[in-house]
Amino acid sequence: MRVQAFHLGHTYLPEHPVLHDISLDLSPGSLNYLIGPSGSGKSTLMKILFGDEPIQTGQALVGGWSLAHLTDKTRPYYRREVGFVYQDLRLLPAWTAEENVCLPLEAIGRSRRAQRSRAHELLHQVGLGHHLRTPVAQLSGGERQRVAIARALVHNPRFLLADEPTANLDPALSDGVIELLNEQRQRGVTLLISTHDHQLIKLFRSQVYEMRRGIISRHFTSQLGHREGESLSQGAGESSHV
Amino acid sequence: MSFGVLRSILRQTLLGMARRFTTQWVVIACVAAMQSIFAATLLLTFNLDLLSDQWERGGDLLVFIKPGTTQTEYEQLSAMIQTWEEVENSSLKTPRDALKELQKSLDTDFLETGFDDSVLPATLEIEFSASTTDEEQLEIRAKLLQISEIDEVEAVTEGRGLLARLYELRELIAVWRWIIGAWVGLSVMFVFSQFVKLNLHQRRREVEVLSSVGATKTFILAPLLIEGALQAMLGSLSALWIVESVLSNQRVGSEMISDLLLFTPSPLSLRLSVTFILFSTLLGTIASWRAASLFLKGRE
Ligand SMILES: Nc1ncnc2c1ncn2[C@@H]1O[C@H](COP(=O)(O)OP(=O)(O)OP(=O)(O)O)[C@@H](O)[C@H]1O
Ligand SMILES: [Mg+2]
Repeated sequence: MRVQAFHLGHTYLPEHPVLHDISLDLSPGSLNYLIGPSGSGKSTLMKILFGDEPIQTGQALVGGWSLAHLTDKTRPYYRREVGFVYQDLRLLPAWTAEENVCLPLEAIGRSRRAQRSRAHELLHQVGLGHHLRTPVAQLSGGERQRVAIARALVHNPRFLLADEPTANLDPALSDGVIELLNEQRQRGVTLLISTHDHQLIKLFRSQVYEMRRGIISRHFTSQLGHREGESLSQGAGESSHV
Repeated sequence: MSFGVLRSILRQTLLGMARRFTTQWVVIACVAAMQSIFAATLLLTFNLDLLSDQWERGGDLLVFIKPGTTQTEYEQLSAMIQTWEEVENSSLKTPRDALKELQKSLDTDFLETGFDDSVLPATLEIEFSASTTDEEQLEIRAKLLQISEIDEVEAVTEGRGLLARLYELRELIAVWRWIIGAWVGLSVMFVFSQFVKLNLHQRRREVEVLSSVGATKTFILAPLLIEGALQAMLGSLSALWIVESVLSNQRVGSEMISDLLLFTPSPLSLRLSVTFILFSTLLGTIASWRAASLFLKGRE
């Protein structure tokens, strides 16, 4: 699914704009990263692209959807084509991992059997096959994060937004998650992942958008490399301002 | 809406109710307590209606005639009264007739021999035509005075008197029934809207998560409505059950009533019960829907 943003701007509080003139063009099946310091507006941009925040200025097109024209009626249908791993995960702590992962399928009325088999498949993929019936409240931070990732993938979205999906994971698990997400590209899924872990972007060839104070300050193609202590600027290749 | 979504909604409703089991009981008990008051009033008026129906049959005026009045005098009196416009019918009961009736009602003939029937009074039952307005009632009272002034007449009682008092009582309760009904209805709606608010507050995270995974507003709201409807239905069913089991279990009261009034109180008719439950269910649904949509509007 192609994702385009044109001159997006956003303000939460008057006089304090969070995004200025953001433009993006993500090709179908591409892997894209959003990096940048805390507070630079990464989550805000992702929320706009998920329809959580309204479009205030500019326009965004995702597949056939014009986000400026989403209404309360159409938004749920848009979200059925998109997956989102929230930074705060948004899981239901009293529900089991399986119940949490099944929810997007429950909302579209899939049969219980279909829900279960799909949820089990994904929970096994993220290494939580032994925690299907465990309430999320009893899982570790990293395990919860993986439940959230499984939930974002369960309905086969064509555009996946992941807001710091590896924040609570150790390096090995982080790489595993990125590999899992990267596999989705075979189905033409467009990925947009925000991260503070600059080692991650070297795992696969990807487009990297660096944000600073509400603008995209740099856009470059990442180069492959191994996880080590080196800094991001050395791993960065061509660089251009957008 | 597809069958699958409907099935999911029902499943979510039941799961949601099971997750907050205690709250369910509190709400149902609250509704049941309030609805019992209304059900009791309904039951009372229902039985008063039955009672007055039963009593409506029978003479309107009972004229007791002095002992020693001759047969011709009876007939003259009867003929005179019969000429009055408002009088539908009048029937004379001689002491002999009265005795026969007494024997029949006692199912014995031991009174047959040596019983002086002259101790029984002769009576004249006068039935006024059914369509009597208030004005005509006045006239009837005037006629009543006339009758009591006739020489042969000893006393006159108005058969309607007790019935009229019964009617008054019924009217009074009928008014109170609606006041109580409205009060209970409002309270039930209040309980539901508070409950739904509480429920949504407890579940705001769930609502948030549901809407972020592509659930429609219907999908989010419907379980709350169904829950409200189910609670209202169970609450009013319990109220009916409470009231009717009290009625059928308090023997002493029932026996007193049936001895005094020759009347056995009966449970609410099926039609009335079903209406009561449906109405209550509707109230619960409306209140839940209103509260839930207000909440969602405030959220967005
Ligand atoms: N709901 C909100 N109301 C007001 N201001 C907000 C809100 N959400 C975010 N902001 C502000 O917008 C700015 C950008 O926030 P955002 O969450 O997009 O940053 P971020 O790049 O995702 O940061 P991080 O890397 O820490 O997650 C911040 O300065 C933040 O204070
Ligand atoms: Mg963020």
